[in-house]
Amino acid sequence: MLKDLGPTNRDVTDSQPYIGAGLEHTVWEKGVRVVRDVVGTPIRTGDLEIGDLINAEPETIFEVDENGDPLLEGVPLQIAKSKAAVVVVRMDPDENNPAPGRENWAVDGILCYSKICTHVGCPISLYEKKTHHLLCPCHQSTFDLADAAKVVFGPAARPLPQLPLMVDADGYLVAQSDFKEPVGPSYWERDSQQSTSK
Amino acid sequence: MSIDTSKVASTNTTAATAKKPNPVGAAAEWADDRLGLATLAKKNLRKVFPDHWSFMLGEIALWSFVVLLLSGVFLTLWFTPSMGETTYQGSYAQLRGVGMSEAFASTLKLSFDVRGGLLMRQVHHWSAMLFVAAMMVHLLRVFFTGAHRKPRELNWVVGALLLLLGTLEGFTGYSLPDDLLSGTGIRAADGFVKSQPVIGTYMSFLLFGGEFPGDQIIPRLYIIHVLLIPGLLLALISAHMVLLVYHKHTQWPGPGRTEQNVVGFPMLPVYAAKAGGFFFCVFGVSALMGGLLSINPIWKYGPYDPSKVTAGSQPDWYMGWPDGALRIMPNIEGHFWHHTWSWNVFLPIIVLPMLLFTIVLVLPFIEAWITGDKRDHHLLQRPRNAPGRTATMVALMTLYAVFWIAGGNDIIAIRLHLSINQITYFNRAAVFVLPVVAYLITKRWCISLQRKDRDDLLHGYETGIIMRSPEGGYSERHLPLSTGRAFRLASRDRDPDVFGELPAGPDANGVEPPSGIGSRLAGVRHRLRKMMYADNIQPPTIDELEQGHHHAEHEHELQVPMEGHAADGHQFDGHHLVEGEKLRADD
Repeated sequence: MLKDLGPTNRDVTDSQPYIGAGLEHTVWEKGVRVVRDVVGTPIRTGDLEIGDLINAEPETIFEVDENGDPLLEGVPLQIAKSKAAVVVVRMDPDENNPAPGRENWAVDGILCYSKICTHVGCPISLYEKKTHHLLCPCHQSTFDLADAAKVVFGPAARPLPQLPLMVDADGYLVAQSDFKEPVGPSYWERDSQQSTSK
Repeated sequence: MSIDTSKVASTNTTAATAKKPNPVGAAAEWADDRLGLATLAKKNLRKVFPDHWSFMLGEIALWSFVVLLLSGVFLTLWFTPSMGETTYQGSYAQLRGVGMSEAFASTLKLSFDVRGGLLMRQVHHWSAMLFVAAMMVHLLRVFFTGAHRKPRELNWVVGALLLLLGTLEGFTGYSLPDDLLSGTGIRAADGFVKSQPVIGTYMSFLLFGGEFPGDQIIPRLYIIHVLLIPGLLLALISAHMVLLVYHKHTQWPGPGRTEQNVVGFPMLPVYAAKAGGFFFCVFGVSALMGGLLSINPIWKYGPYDPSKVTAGSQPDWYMGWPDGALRIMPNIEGHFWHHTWSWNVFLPIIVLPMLLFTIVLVLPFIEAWITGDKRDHHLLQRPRNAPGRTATMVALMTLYAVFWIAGGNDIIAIRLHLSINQITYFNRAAVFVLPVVAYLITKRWCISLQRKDRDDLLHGYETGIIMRSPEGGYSERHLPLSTGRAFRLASRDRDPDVFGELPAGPDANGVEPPSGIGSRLAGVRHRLRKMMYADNIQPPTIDELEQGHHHAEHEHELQVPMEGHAADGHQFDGHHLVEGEKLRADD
């Protein structure tokens, strides 16, 4: 009887009723452009100076189909935004200390991390240029973006997932793939040991 | 013995009849014939309520609930509990053309386009704050004065449930406008739900009707907020009131007040007028706050967007303490058997509140178990006369306060220019240390006050008048307490003697002491009893009191020659005026 309150994670993951359905997926995929979150314009590496931080989204959420209707609207759009929001930062490549296996995830010192806190899911927003620290305004978890977004303070237990970046033929920042691990708060089924090596 | 019949009237041979039928009486009779109200009214209109300012605290909660019902019904006429998307076209220019949910749009409409809408929204929100606050202060009053003891333990349980439901009602209420702040709160709540082992993800998907945020959560919270919880609240408030009437109200000890009576004013006319008037006071204060003090200006936050957040996000005050626990919790996460155990979220936000609530719920039963007191209590205790209990509640209050302050650590850091890291580390320690410190200080403080009461009873109160004896020695003059005050101080129970060892063999009735787990429990209980009563000062016995009076009389006799003379000591306590007084007899 309670089953009809909503589909389960497995239901939506298996049937994919909308793009990026399920806790382990987002709308990011190979070649999706990283665009500014409000206006939806793509970003070139030259647009960012060292120390800059941009709030960004996948271009998918701004795309329209051949009839001019948005690709994503209503609930799927909200779900996409709640998982795919990212921050793009540029730092001196010498200061960045990438995690093993992530050496080629940055482009000229430009890194992209999930904006959704790994604690309980607030969008993270407060960036301190000098230390590369990103602070969550809800419960003050602090992540060091120059050190694979490891937690340096606060109640969050996991680093922010990183989105591997590359540049497309037109010189715009695009994703190499989806996130390699689920974004947002931890949950029971999340197999953390497996997903970090995925 | 003869009876004098000369005073008996001899003229009333016919029955008395009213000249004209009284319409009120006729209506009352009509109703009584059908509803049997007279019997009910005869008893209840004369029901007596004792008077004390602290008995109004629960009444504030009751009346603010009435204000909540009234203002809430008004809000439902315009609020649309829907996450359907719409584009705002109302009169608040800054948000015109912005896409938002219908819930947010209708809240804007209520705030800017409905006459009195903003006032009602703010009255509703302020009285919600007041409702929870009044319940908590009322709970403290009840516990500090021992009003939770037998036979009122179950009413305590009902009250604790009301507090829990009131808090949930507040959370579901401030989440409804679907603004950026409350949406962030729901976002965090989703994280809380997901942190539960095994069932977390299922619970989240069932609650949100799929993946967060979905389009179900606002309508579901709405029906919980306007029907489910208010219904439960109403039922429990009724039960709370019925039990109050059944048990009768507690009263402070005083001359003429016993465990068997209630001294106070009758329902009609005094108490009904007072309580009715007090409703208008609460309503008036809520209306003033709603009219003058801005609260939850959702148009400043904007509609919810899962990719945005405001800095300094704070929940309503009563949700502050679990939020604080969440903030100071170390970031422990477990990974076992390919599963994630989110201790960093699950412990502070799910386990801790449930644990603390359970502790509050069972406090009266724990206390009764420790004291072994099975008597009915209708006379209140002063907090100082139960130092162990008072200190326990102060320790719990301190724990609450540390969590609550931790919930504002970002605001404290910004306003006071402190390091947020250091505040957090301090609070991590304080949450364990400060309640213990508070317990010890409160306990000693209560015992000092007990000692003072005992001294006042035995030796009179300190007048502050310094007397110089002919030999040149100085002493402070003590005067006996007034009878009423002495009665109030003296009328308290002596604590049971618990400082012996537990008997090893059978007691006087041949009952064997418990063995096994029972004996360990008995040992724990014995230690708790010792802790509860340790170092308490007992009220003086009758003998001690008489000796004290005798001593006072003797002292008084020595001072009799000075009575009525200058500097007899009464210039300063209001016994007579000082105008025209000469300081020395030979002035």
